[in-house]
Amino acid sequence: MTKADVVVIIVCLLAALILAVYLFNSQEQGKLLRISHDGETVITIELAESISRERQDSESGGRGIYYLITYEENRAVPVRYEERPDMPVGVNYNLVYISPEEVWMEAADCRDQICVHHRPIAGNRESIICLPHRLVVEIAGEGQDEALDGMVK
Amino acid sequence: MKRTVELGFLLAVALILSYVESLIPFTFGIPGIKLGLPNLIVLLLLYSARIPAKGAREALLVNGLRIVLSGFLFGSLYSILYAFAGALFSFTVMVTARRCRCFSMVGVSVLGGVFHNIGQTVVAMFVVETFAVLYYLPVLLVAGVMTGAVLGIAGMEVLPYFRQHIEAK
Repeated sequence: MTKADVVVIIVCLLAALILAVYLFNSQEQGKLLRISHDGETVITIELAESISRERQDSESGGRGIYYLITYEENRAVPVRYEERPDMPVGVNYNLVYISPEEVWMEAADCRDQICVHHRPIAGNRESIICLPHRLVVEIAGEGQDEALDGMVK
Repeated sequence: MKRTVELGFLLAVALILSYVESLIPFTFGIPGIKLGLPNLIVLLLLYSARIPAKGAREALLVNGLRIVLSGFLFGSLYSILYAFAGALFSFTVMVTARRCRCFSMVGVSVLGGVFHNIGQTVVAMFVVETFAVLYYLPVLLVAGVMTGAVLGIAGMEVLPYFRQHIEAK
């Protein structure tokens, strides 16, 4: 190990720390959940309203709703379910579980299953991304999400 | 002719390392973190060559073929695209770092790991067309430093034996 090695390691770790602080300093509870496909918003959901009508009385665990996203001719079609639906046959899909407390990818037929293994998200600006299906599920606050995305498009 | 056989052998080793890597369940709830074992071959080729440019050429050849083959064997066309983006980015940085002679294998490997992850993050940003991918970068940077350091240390240990058996011209 040379001095330059140590410098590189420290610089990289510092860069990670600064980036993390910069990106996550507004780590408040997010209010909106946005699901987008190929950069286009498929649906936006108020997290507070993502409570199943049939199971709204049950305590914290399992009172959320499901959104099944299927892909037809490269277009993403979202359908809301109050209970966990059966998986569709013959089309690609992502099944998202949404509750006011946390959001996760319940199931998907993508090849790598990275999105399904992703830990649940809750905080502002957290996201689950399914690269094979080009689907992004992200939590945003109010009125602060368009500015950053504009840079990419 | 002998060199062709040696490079073919190294390609086979790199492929095995790709396979071993795909067997290790290495999920931290965040996608994209890998050990980067095949990069060991790239490092060894870069460091064992007497003429740096020749080492770089051979490393690029072996790694490019490795990505295409392992993509068809264990992945998909999409994963080939991602792998190439990360590999080319990190390869350029590693060759440059190797040239400047102030780094040891650990430093070169850490730079390679970090820039591999930066490259893949940038490509993912364009594929899904969102800025959200950027939020993975801090974790990926730290992961790049750690896996890079481990591989660099492993590379330093292996290099003397590698030189003994694979004679670079």
